[in-house]
Amino acid sequence: MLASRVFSLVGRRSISTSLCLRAHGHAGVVKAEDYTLPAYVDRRDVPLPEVAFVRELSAQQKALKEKEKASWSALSVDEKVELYRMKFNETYAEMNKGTNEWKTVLGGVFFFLGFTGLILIWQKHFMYGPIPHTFSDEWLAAQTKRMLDMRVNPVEGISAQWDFDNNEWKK
Amino acid sequence: MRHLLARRMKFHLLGAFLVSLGSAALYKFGVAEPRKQAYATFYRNYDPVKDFEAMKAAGVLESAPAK
Repeated sequence: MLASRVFSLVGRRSISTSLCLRAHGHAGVVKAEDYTLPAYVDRRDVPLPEVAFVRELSAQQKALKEKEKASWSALSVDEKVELYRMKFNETYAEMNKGTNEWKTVLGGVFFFLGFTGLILIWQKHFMYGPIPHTFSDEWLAAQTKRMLDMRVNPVEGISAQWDFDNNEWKK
Repeated sequence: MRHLLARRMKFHLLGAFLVSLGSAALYKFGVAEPRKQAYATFYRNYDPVKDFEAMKAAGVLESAPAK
């Protein structure tokens, strides 16, 4: 009994998609959406796309396609170019051409860095309190003297830059 | 259109080789060798006792006061 109630729920499908709506008006055949059909694409790794670029040919272009079926040496240069443009959108050179986008990116980056700098200046001026007293010149001088007395980093560091015999920084 | 991957790979393989060797050489001769020289010159004529007396006189050693 429970199984048959579940079956009735499954059997009843609600018409929610527009595709289904259209199907009911066209004797059950659904029109293919554009995105389901083979598409043209300009990509370096796809040299021959699935369809030609121009889909609906004018009368002139149709005549040219007929002429293409004969010997190709009969075609003029312009006609060959026209045939190419019918089949492809951009040449490889046009496809691979660089843009100037990097300038916009760099400009944007610098702009926002500058804005951040303004924020930091405002913060230093209006928000932060005074720096510790251990950054005063007198303290730093006494600190450096103590470091030299202790011979801190005597090989490559600060004590290596001090001339102990003449009591001055090495030139 | 031909040998696209081969050409790119050859270029990048050579480049990677040169860049890694170059940076190793740069480090060796820019950092490692000067450091070795600095230590050699420092310890060539180093007198630890003299250094100790100087530090003691400056008063930075708690267990060895200046007096």
